[in-house]
Amino acid sequence: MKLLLVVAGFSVLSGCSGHYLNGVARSHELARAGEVDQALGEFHAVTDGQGWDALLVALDEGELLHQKGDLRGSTVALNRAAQLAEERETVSVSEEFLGKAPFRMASHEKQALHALQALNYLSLGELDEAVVEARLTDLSQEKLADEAAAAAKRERFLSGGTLRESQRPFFEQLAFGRYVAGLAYELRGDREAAFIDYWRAFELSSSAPADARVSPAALAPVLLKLGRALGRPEVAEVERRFPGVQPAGDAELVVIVEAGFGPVITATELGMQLDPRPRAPMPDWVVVDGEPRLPSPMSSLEELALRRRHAGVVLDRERTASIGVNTAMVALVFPLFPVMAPLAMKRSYEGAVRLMQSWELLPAEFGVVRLSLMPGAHAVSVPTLRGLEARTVEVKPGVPTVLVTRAP
Amino acid sequence: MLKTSLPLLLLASCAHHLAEAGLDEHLAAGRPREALEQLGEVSDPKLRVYERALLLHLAQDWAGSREAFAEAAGTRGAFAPAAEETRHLQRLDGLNGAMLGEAWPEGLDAGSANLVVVVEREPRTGCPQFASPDTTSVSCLAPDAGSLELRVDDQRDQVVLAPWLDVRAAMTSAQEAKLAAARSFAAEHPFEAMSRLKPLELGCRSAPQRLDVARLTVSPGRHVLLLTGARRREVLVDVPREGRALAVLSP
Repeated sequence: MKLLLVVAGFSVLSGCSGHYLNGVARSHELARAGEVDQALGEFHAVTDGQGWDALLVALDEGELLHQKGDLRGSTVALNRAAQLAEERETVSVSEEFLGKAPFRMASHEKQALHALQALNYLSLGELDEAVVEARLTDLSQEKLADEAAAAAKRERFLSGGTLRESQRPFFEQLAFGRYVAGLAYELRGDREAAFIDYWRAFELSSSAPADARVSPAALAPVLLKLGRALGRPEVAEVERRFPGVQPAGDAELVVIVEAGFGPVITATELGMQLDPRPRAPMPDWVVVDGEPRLPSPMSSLEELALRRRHAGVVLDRERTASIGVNTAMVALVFPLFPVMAPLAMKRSYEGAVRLMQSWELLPAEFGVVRLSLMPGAHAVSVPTLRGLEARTVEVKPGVPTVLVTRAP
Repeated sequence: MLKTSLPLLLLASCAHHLAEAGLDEHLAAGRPREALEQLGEVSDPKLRVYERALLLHLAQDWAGSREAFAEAAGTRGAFAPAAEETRHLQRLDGLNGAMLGEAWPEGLDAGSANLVVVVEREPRTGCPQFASPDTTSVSCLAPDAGSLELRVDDQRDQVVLAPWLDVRAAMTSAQEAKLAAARSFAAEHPFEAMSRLKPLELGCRSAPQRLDVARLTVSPGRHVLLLTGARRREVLVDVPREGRALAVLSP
């Protein structure tokens, strides 16, 4: 028995990879306070050459550089993250069995990665690259839609219940990803493709529960403008649901507001708890020519996490093969106790640490302020982590002027 | 040690977390429209209509709430709100009317201000109860409203909220009086007590427990009200050049 405990203890301890989020806590705190240069310095001091998970490091670096406005640097880091995330989708049964499974991104995080990357490219004026990200969003969402039946089966296996099928698109697919894809196509002049993505965002928002923060209302004006010009049949549905709404004008200002930070995940004795991260009592609205405008939330990652709670975290992060290994371990742990007990303990510890990790710096919410304005210069105050920041923005007819900002 | 076995425990404990949330859970999460879908949990027909009226009020459907309050008055059922609760429900309906352009409810004056903000704190109030006649004190299931901060536009200083109504305190006090009477009855009539002292019915659990008010003088035009605390809420309010504006916020 003593030998067994020694083996188990050694096995567990040898697998301790530490908690990444604890390691970078100070850097994240600085980032949330808007001290992004200091946050980056602290981040590099903690992570460079320290052997932390390369994917989590790349994600944080990408987000910190995005926040700083070093968009080129952000695209490099996020591309590295996307590649690592893709490689990790291949599940190695031996790694899983020996408790060495890597951190894998939840599907929302992956979609948000492509959306952020598209925003980087849009801000850099690299429309072709932004469209590539739009296509990746399309691919990942189509895949999720195709796998809906398998997802329902997995949910039923794990929990005995499933999401409401009418709400599944809202919970699985990020409407904001579609919105940015639509914007990328619209800026490139491909109005047909833009309409299709805006329409998809409209459908996703429409499948949200009654009190969800997202609403399809903000999409109505642009859908009416593009849809009428293209003679799309979907326009009738928009007119039916939003009577009296006027189509967007020729000169538009689009402000993308990234607000808040990911939820707080705490380990509890019987699972994990997700709580909203308190937000500073500072503006996240936009003031245009002296008049405040509230952003329409297009996607709220915080809401998705809090509504699905830890079941959502498990379902999003554990792949089917991982669940199979868990099941096999549970089945084998009693018949083969001396061999399986240390392995099961190691896997449990590794799994616990892995599930507590997340892309914590990701915005809690992506909102949009989209206004039809007179062509010309406009006084616009955008929310930043340090308060409202005044700018003069030139709005031209034709394609929308796009601003991206990071709010508290 | 338990923490190290999280994944296995997680797999086993997912069932509860994919289950449909109930009325209380939606209320606690600030989701009145989804709570409406769970009203089947309320068995008494009269109480059910009152709950619907309150949930529509919390969802800021002032006209729908008004209609439901009127319907509740004419619905037969076992639920009989206490005097304090009746007064409270009437004031909430009065706020519906005020938001629809009717007269403001009694006690809500603007004074010299041109913007009045009513903050309705967490629901699940009006539920003081005692489970049995020998309960030593009134137990109230309503959680504390918690701290809230209200700001106007991008001002750093928060607005001072003054208490307007504290229904929880009023109802608890009323229930304590009833409990005292019940105890005294039980002392004098020990054999009858068991049949007469049944547990009290829960009141409307959707009713906000505390209403605070702020009276502000701001420039005419559009302003943002930012409520922070347990949940963040932002609303736009248009203050007219002449007259006054009313905003009702629920976290």
